[in-house]
Amino acid sequence: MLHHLTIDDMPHSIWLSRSEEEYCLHHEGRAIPVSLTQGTAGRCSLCIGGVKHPLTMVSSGDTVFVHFKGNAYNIAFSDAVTFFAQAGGGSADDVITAPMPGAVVSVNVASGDSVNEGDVLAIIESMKLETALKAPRNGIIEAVSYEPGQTFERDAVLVKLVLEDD
Amino acid sequence: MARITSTIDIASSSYQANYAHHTGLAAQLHAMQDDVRHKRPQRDLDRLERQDKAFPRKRLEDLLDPGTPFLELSTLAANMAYDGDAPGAGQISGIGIVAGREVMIHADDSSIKGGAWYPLSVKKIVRTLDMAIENRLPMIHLCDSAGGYLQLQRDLFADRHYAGRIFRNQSILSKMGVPQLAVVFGHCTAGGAYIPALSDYSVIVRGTGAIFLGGPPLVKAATGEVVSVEELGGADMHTSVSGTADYPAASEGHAIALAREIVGKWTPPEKARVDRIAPEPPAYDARELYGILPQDAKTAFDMREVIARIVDGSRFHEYQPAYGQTLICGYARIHGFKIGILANNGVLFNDSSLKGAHFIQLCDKNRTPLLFMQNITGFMVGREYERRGIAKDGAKLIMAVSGASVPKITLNCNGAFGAGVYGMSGRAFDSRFLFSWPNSETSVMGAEQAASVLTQLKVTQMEREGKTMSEEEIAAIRDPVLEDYKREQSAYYSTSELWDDGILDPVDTRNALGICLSAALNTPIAEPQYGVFRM
Repeated sequence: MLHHLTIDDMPHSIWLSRSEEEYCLHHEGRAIPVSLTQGTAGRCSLCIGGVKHPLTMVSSGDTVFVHFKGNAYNIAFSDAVTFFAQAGGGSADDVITAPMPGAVVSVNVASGDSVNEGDVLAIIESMKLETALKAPRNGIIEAVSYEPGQTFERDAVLVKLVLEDD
Repeated sequence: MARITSTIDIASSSYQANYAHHTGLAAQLHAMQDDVRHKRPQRDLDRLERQDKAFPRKRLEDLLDPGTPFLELSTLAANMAYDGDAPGAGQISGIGIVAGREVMIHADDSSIKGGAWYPLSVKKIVRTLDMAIENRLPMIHLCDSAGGYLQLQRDLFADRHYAGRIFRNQSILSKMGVPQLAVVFGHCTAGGAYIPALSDYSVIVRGTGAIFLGGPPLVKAATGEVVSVEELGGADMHTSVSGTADYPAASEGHAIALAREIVGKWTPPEKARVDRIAPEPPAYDARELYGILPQDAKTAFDMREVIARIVDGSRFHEYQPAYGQTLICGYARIHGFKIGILANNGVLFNDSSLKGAHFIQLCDKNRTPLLFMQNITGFMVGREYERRGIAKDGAKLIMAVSGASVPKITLNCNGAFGAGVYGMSGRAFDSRFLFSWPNSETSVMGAEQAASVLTQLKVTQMEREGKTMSEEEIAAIRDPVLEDYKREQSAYYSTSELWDDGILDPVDTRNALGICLSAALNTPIAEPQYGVFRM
């Protein structure tokens, strides 16, 4: 599985493997020997296939800003699990199920409403405890299955979000 | 250590003829492996696409670290069984690198009969787990199987090493503290449900992955309950309600990314300490092996020429070079690992058997893994040798082979015939790995000898009844035996039946052995201990 990153918002898949010299960059079926020597103040020397190139880079979190051959690049790394979880679309986050048996106290949304992550969708009561059910992500409500006062069993689907397709 | 000096004449006509023959065999091997890996009827590929599933080889590729080697095992299992309906026995197995860890992988190939388990599929999975146990290799199971192939259930269900052994082996591996991960891409039904359930970690793909003891049709038949796959054993049910699986995944890619992250959390094992230095390539080109190997099992050749093209720097320290010369013993290195080699250079006599038994014990005391290079037609027979105790001396060699605590690896270079195979760590002697070359043959005796023995028995029996047999009648007995023997002693039959762990192209042997030696050292090496040697 390759690393996923974007260079100026363009997606790229690459892999770095260890090699006798230093690293080997795998990209679109090619394997290119590379190495990076770090100097001071973000100045580095990047060696690609035996040829050295000066560059300057600054990193902030998972993003690296690179100045290379007169151009500036913004390289953002996305770890594989996050990358695929986001690419996957439909997820468990599409349904909000009852964590325990109980009754509905109030419902704040109706089907067709658009909600933001963290919005309270409904409040349920169970074992003398009120729980707020929040939107797991931004989206549109597909259906609300219960009205205030109705009781439900554990794992009952209380609210459904419309599947996202990116 | 001195280099072996090769005396091969690459300009000779016999070398040239051998070279053409063996490059042909290697090309045939690669073509067959390629078909098993990639060639499928379009309808099977279409079905996978309809089911929103990736081709199993793609899953494997995504799971492995790019640019790292994968040693596939038993690629051609079942190639001569089930009318060719289950190439690779519908399973993929091998040693690879995932998130920097050495792991054993077992994957159901759902592009072949929906990943159904044939008897040889079960044998392949059990063997894969055996290797994981013996070499303490963490296991990753990529599950996507239609379940046991019911028409052949008698050959896969009840016996000691049938399907139950898969789950027994998983439990033993866990008891040993070797981690296991299952990624559920498709259905894991009935027994198959225990693969993820017995794994330390499991990831299940939403929508396609499911785990249940009985699928919806069986539930309906048994209790009348109508239930969907998702409700009965889908990803969300198992990861949020039953706790049978651990991580829900939104897609196959997500599942593999999770799997790689989980494997990355496993602490790599401490390797057994053996003598290892920086590797050095052989001084001679491995491709010359094609010209050295003869075109049949009858023609003798010097195994030193073979050793020279496999070991580091072609360097070989020969032990007892003047004694028992039909068994070459000595030290060499492969990818830097020091090994002790026992290689046949003729029939096993009394002295060669004693030399072998002694050398195995030296290596064992010296913590040196053993490599057996087979080209064996048997122990010597005849009055003189029986009087000298050939069976007694052979027993010593077998006792040493069975008792050795250091890892053993066996390579069938040309022929493995008769009791000599026992002395050369054949399949029954628990070599960690056993490989064959495409030209190699395995059987209790050579085809021609077997045919003539069987024909002779029949002729004698008829003579007792006062009948004589015509040439045609004799040929009618001999020819089918000859044909069966030739077919069943081929490397392709051996590998079809999983009598080995795969056929290697001779030029790939050195790298394969390097991977095996590295894997074998995950297991601490026990103190040497032997049974009674008949003196």
